[in-house]
Amino acid sequence: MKISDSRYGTILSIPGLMLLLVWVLIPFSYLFYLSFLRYDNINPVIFSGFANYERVLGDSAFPLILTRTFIFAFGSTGFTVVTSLILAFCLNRIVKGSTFFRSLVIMPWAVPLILSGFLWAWMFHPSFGPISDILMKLKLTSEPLNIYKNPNMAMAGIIIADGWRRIPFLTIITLAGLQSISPELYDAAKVDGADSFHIFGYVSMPLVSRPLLIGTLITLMFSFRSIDVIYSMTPGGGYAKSTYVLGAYLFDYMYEFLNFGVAASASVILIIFTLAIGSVFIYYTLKKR
Amino acid sequence: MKSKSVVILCVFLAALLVVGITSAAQGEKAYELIDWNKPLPMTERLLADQYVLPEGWQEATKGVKELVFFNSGALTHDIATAIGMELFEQKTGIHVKALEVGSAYTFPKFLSVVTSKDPSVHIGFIRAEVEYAHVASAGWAHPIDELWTPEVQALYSPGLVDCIRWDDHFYGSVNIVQWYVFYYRPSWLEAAGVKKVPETWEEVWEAAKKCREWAKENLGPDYYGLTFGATKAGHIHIAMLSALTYSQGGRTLKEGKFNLDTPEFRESWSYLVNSIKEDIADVACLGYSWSDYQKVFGMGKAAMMLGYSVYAVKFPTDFPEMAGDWAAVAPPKWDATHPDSHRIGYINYDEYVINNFADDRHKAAAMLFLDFYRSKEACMYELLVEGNDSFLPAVYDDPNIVDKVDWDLAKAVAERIGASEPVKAGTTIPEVRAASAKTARMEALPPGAAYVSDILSEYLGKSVIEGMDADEALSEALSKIVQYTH
Repeated sequence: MKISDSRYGTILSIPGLMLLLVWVLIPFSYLFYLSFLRYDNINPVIFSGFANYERVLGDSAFPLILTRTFIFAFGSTGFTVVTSLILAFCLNRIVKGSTFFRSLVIMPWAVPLILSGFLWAWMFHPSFGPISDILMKLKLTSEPLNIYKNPNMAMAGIIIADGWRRIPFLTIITLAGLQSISPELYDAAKVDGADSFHIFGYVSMPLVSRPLLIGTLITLMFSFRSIDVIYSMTPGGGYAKSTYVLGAYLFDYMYEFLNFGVAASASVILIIFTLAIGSVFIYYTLKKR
Repeated sequence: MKSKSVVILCVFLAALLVVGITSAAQGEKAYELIDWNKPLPMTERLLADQYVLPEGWQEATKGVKELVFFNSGALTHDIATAIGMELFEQKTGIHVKALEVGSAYTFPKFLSVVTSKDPSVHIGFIRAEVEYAHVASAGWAHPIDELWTPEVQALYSPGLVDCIRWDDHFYGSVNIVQWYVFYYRPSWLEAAGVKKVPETWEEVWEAAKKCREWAKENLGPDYYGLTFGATKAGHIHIAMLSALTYSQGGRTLKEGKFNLDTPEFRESWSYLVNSIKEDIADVACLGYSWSDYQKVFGMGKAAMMLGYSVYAVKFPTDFPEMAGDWAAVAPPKWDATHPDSHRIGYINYDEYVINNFADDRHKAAAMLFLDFYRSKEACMYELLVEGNDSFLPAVYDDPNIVDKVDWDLAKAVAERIGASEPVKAGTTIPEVRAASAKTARMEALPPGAAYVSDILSEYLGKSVIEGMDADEALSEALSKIVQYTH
């Protein structure tokens, strides 16, 4: 029996499709189903229509939580992109000891996000953290530095902690992009009289922009649904919930308030946001082809 | 033909009888095979210097090789638990395996187990005041009423027994207990011109104010009169608010429901908020966990705190810079108009519950472990080796208790788990602890408590950071709480 190529392709994709079904579709369908239940572990479980969605979207704190989520995600991604670019360009120039410096840059990647949060929480601790101590010893501040009492500084703190852990990934992607640029292009630019800034703006950046963009979108997606660093650094979202983001909101409803229905609806909302960012990523990936 | 039919009918009936008897035998749950009051009444078994196993345990736990439970944090910090596991294995041959989970994730891990009906983890570790009632009412914990007869209840701290009764049933037993006591630094009080040790929260306020002024001038801007933890993590702010409420004779629960809109709770709320606003306590208290603020006191950055009794053991070893400049008394009452019976300590209390989805034989083994862990034998290791408090007040009354501890075993276990070597010594601040055991209190809050804790934490922050009026902040918080809990 002769099987056509398209049918053969379909048959070969069945195991993959099955995995997709088991790992993605079934859990997502269950999550979607849960989001329509009153499932708070206090009252009997009943179908409640859109009540959970109404609760999340109607929560007076929700607009603020969403704003903070965007500030955190874009702040962390922005910090990561800028730092990664600087590091990647520096690493690209370093010849002696390049292996050592590259290993050094990758090191934070080995630290789990949750530990990164604990580490930075200790660094920024107002009573026994080294940052406050050093600043006081250098007489740069007369009082202990407590980033948590200022909502903007608290947000900046968690952005630094989250970005610190994500920088290696984006640095490596950018560095790989930079190293794939033919040295002849740089030589040609130099012959044409281009200085370092021109080379950066007209040669390096355009050629590294695609991997950088893809890396940035992935970082943005991860930051958007991040909770590890926030939870370990500012449990409960910090003083007056200044660092309370959507991920923390859903974690609280799931693991603290045990209200699975509301947690599920918050998850669905978070998935929609992440998918919106993901679709940009997919668009650019497919466009490359 | 007829006789053939009769024979067939008889065989059928006999088979039915056998099946019936077998089913009936199987209908008896494994844990029901244990007679908790034999060979000795349960109270005597528990009070014996060496725990006495109940009758029928072998049959009930037949085939059980291992018990698995979640331990909050690394076992290195829980030497008494490790000794308890070892002693239990020596007595029963059942190995106890601790899954070490960070304290913030112990409950989420247990929640994952019970919601997926996973029978492989037999014992969960939960916080009594916020998680217990929810776990019990959701049907995730196996009821253990047979372990909590009225006679047995009478052996233990009444405040604690109240916490493990939910809906007229018992679902939990002790893992760890620490009474709150009031610590102060005598040298600071003297230097600041405080004539006597504060006995009321009113006096604490005045003393803390003087200490802050003195410390700010002589030690630095980050030295305060009072310290406490008020982070949402571990619901530590609930402890402080409850302790202040109890000191006025108030309660946070009434007939099993939240009772927060009371003059006592409002006073407690204002006290906490204003202590930060009026610069007696550091604003960082809002982010301090239970260990942070006690560390702050240990490091000598605050004059007073309401803290765990276990720190009386830790100060000399973990904070040598204190150089003995600390003392502890019973928690203060609200003001001089209140009776001394209002000098009630809060309790740091974590519980073991049995996974309701575990099989019956493992449930039986888990019940046996819980029974052992509340016995005098296990409690004396908690008190003397780890420095926690004893769940069983009788341990405080035994003058020869130090010699009843197997110190060689304690040392061997310490070496195996990497803990510091235990020192053979008596109980620190014994009078304060023994008194607390009788009066200390905590309330197991009803389902939804975590949300209440979250809202209180948020509005505490709003009041301190965003300058919202304390009373207005509480009223707004309470109206949100009412919406959620009704």
